[in-house]
Amino acid sequence: MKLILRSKHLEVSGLRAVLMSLGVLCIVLGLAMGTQGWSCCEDLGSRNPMIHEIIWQLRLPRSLGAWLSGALLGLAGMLAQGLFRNPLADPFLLGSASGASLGVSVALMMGLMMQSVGAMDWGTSSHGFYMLLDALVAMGHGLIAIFRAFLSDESSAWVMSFGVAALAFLGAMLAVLLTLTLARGVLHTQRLLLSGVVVGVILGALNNLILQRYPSLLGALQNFMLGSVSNVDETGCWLMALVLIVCFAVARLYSTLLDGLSLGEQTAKSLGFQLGPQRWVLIAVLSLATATSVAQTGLIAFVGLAAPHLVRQLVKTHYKAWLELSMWMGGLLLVSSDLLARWLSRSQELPIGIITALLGGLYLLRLLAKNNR
Amino acid sequence: MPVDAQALNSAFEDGSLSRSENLETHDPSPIPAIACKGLQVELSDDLVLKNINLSIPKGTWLSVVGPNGAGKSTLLKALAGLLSHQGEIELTGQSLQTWGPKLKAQRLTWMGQDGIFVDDLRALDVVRLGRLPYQKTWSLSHVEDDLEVQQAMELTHTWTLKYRAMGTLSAGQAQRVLLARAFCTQSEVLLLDEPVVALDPPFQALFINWMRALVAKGVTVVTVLHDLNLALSAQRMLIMNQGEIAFLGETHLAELHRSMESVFSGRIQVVDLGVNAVERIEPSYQVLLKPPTR
Repeated sequence: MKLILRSKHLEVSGLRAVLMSLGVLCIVLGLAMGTQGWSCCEDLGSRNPMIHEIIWQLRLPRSLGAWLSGALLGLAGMLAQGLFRNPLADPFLLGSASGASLGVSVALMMGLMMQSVGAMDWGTSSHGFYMLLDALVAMGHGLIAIFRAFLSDESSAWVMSFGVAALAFLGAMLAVLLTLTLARGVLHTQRLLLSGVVVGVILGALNNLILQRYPSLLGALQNFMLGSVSNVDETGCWLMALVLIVCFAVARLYSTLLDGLSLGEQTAKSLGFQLGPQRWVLIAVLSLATATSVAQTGLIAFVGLAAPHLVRQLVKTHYKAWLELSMWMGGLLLVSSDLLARWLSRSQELPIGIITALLGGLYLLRLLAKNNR
Repeated sequence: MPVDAQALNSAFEDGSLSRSENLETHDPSPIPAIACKGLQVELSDDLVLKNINLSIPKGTWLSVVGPNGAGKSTLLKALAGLLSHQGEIELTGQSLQTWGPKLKAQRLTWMGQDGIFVDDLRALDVVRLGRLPYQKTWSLSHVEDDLEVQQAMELTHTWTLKYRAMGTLSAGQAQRVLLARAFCTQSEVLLLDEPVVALDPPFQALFINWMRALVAKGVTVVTVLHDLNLALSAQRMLIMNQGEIAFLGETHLAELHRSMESVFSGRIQVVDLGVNAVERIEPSYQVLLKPPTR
């Protein structure tokens, strides 16, 4: 009896140790890798204040942010696969991705990033929706003027970057709520997935309308759509860490529901689970984790799909262990992708989302090919 | 219910129906393990169960048979409290609604054809789910009731497969793991929907042993079985047709056999092998399929 427990714990803790130490290694390597390649390696202990600042103010938040964002996506991905009982489910299923993009578009439109929305044509349209948009823009500019008047430059910049993240978060949550309303609750998996697709399409269309009106947003938005960890700051790291801890703790408490659900919804019910309320909790956790990650690093593809999948393949165990391992795996995947992105293009920034999409896409292709056989 | 009263009476007289559980009034135990009164279930505007009255005594094995769409699985799900229904269901004399979900899950196990997504879970972890009803909701530790788990897995010959992922098992092996899951809860009432799916003949025979051992321990078992020969091994049989009870009685009753034949539109024939069913352990009837005659 003791032997089984030990061997399982060995398997799980072995993988955990590997994933954790590789993650830490990648973060440390991230500290040492700069725009000039590895040149700063020897400078890690340097007392030069400029190098010091580059390492601790720029590279650390970036590497740590990449890890945290990936961990959030990994956790959310495993939750999504368990909740929707589908090995190809990912955290963006409930429309949170398009909701977050819409939130960012609105934030950009309202002028939270003034520099990117330089020249704007005012009041040339009498179209109802465009008038609404213009009114929003005017309101946003008014707010910013107020902020500028009362706050120092530094703190108003902080408010603005926080505003973008907050709106992305709001957008993601709004999309998830919309999906849940459309699906009339969480009980019907198929309806839920379908509603997620519908909400994604509708919010995507709204987003495109905004871009149609203000084409100059496109450039700023692109960074977000492709996913990028270069703008993560210390505040973002703290926020993600906090959310990760909360989400992980709650998900862990409810993890047995996912085990039960894997035997079927009716069986889970017959095992004594109150499916409704417990699923709501897990969907809230899933949305919170996804929205936080998206708000900080944009739409990073495939990490939320590949991390849980890899973990499932590596160890056969139950969801409680899987959730944790998927979190470590997601963090490792994203921080190593960031390293790769920086190593591949030292002079010009390569959005990390491109790397993850390429690698993840290839992984998915391999998976499909394997399943076909 | 088309129960022939005269035939029943004669059965009483010649003693073959000594402890008749056929009529509610003759229940051996005052409190049935599970019972329903006026049970109606509607699934997408179709009345799938029509006014079912049923009382299943403690420590008996009842098999439910009937043509496709007769409402057998629905009856089992309704009895397990998994469907919204009209009418009253009682588990050991207490209304099903008043049981807390955990407590109900400890007393009653349902196993059925459910959409299953367990390919990457190990057999051991799947069986352990059967112990979940005993775990406190906020308990941080995973259930480790290993003794019950091991016993159930040894019973179904799956202990050697415990580390295998479910996706790597054959259909029959996976079914035995799921059976172990149902057994290890050690509940008083077991509702099994097609439990022998994919089991080979030796395991089907073993299944009869498992059922009899459970019944001997006082467990009440209700099984939906498509294998009519296997179904005849139960103590009692409930024949369903179009959402109603066509017949309910002990499996050795000739009337029951005739009812089976009529419910399956005369395409089967139950042959009495001439051995007293009460004394023999093996089923003493054989169900033959009758191909359409030219």
